[in-house]
Amino acid sequence: MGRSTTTSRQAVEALCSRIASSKESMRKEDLQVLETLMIMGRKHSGELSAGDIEAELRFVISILMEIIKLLDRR
Amino acid sequence: MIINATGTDRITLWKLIGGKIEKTMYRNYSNIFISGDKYDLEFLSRQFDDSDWIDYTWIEAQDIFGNLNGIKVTVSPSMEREIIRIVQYCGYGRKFSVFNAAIDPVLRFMAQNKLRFFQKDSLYDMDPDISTAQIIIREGKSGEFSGAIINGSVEQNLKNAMERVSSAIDDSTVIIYNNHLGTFYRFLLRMEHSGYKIPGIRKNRGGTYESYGQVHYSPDRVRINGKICISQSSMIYSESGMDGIYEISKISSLNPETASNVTPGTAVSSMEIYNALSSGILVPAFKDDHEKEKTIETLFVTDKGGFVLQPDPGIYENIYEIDFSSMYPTIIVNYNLSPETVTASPGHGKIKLPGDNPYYVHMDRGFLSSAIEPLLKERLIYKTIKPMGAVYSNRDTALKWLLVTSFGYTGYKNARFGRIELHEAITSIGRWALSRAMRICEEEGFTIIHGIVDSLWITGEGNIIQAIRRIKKETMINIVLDAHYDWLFVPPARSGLGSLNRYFGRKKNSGMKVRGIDLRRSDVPDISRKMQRELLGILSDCKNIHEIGEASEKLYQIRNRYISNIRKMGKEDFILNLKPTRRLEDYRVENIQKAAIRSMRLSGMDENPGQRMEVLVKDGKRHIIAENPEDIPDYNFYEKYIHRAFEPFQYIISYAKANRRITLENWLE
Repeated sequence: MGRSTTTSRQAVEALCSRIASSKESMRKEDLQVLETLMIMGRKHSGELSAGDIEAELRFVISILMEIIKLLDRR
Repeated sequence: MIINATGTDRITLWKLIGGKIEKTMYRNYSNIFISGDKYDLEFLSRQFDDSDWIDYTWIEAQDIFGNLNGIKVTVSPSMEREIIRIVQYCGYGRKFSVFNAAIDPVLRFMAQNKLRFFQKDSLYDMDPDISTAQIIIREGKSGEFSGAIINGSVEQNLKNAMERVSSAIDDSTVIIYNNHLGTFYRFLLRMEHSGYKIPGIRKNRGGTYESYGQVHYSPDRVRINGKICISQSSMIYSESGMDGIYEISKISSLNPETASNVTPGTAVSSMEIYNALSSGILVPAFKDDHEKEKTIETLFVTDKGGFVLQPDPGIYENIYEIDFSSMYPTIIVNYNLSPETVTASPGHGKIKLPGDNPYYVHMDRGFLSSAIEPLLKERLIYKTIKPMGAVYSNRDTALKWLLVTSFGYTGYKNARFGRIELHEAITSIGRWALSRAMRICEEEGFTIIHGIVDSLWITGEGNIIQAIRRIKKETMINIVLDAHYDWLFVPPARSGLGSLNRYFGRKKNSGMKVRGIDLRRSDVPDISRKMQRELLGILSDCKNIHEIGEASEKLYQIRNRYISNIRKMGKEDFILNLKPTRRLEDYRVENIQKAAIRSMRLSGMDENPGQRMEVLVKDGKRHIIAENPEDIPDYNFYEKYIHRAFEPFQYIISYAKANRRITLENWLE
């Protein structure tokens, strides 16, 4: 009561903004890939928060899920 | 029928009998209960003996957790504070637990005598016909009174306005007023100064407060002896009118004036106190059962909110929206959740709650679940019969607010019957229920598009009735088909994923449903809303994605017309309804909000963060707002609003032309 922990969404958004801060040092073509990864990473983070999984791992699993879906469709 | 009660040590009950109000006076008293260590209680009793004026008895009483031995002190309600002060002084503020104190005296009187305001034989019955006057005072920009609107009739002559306001107050029991910028109170004082007799005019100071991260302002509340004064800016009044206030008063046992001023949380708390006092259960005066210690890992696992399933942006066809009705209150009632029934350990007579949180529940009926149950049943009835009349719809709205708050209040640190583990158990079951609903929908042949807390958007050719029936049976929470869309559009959020709370769609045979876009916002000018209304009018004729694509030209034409005609529009279309949330000195950057609050200060008015104000922007770049009637709007500034309002429509056109939803795969291509 009266406490507040970051929500799963806030934790992933914080991670994304940390990743985004490295944009300046990237080549243009790599930037687009990074942005795609951030969308992929966010995509399933909410669902994965149902399990006791840390934000970084949720982000990575979410990316892997989207990549596997892409490969399956192709 | 009891319609009002006032007073502290002596309560005046207002009864409506045969259309007339009869007032009767009764004595009121407080039974305060103090528990603690026996040795400490004996010490306290000796202090009471020495005091010579405090009567007490030793009794055994019951709170929601079980029996307690202690001292019962009977005093006038106005002496409660003094008793609490003595008890805290003797017990160093921690040795004793005080019960049945710090309670609204009217609420206490009603509960101790098992009385109710606005008691009706049937839920279908109308509220009593109480004489009511609605008074709005008009004021010019420089602060001079320019008349009044009394019951919808405008009176511009100041002398006549005073005469008519005086008559309206004399003839009415309920006075509905608007005290924005203190106008009504100042007008009453002016009337008094001019020789009119208005009994006991006084005001309770309003102020700025924060709720759910938003800053609000409540204007000063005006009170007049012998009248029930209701502020138009009262949250309950603005949401549900007098019907809602009577309903809240009935449920909370607060008099209508108090009921109009409190938050829904306080109303729920009052209802719980009434239930406890009237059934002999002790009510803690102060919250002192603190949260048990947890590891940081446990805290992260348990402290979670509602479940969200991220949608892809795009247009979807044949969509069903299904919603759990009053999800959290239903969970409280159907899973018997109450501070005394939820535990972290298994045991005899306990069952494990579904969901990811490690909580168990006792089978014995809980205090909170019993208190919420009638409220929930009543709301379901009003929800069903609300098409039969505005009164039912207003009661439904009032009850909806109480039920929403009844959940939030379980996690509030000062809630007398709150407990954080209870809050966690409720959200945990909520997440489980939505996940179960998703799985069932998939088994029934649907694809899940979007899900958020208590709602799911699904598409497919499955049997929706069968899916709903199964979800209801398995989760024990009522779920209904809220809408069936021909198409639904989810615009992209800045993250690139679908927006969670902005969408619009065409419902089969019953118009459009719109959420989160400018049309639903209060901080945009009317031009944005007007244009979006026109655009949606075009889209409402489109039955499928193909037709949306074909309508694109018409959509562009509307936008272009708004841009080319911007200089021909009336000034009222450009008014921005702002709510500056800080004081002038607290703004670091120059912006419109700061300009608005500065203009307020310069004109000598009180600047109150959270107070709404209407402004016309004269120069958007330099943040200058219009001060004079001849000032014209900054059209370039307002053109940006038109472009912003058109953004979702720009997206829907491009998606419709691509004839697909934007998946990552499409996006990558």
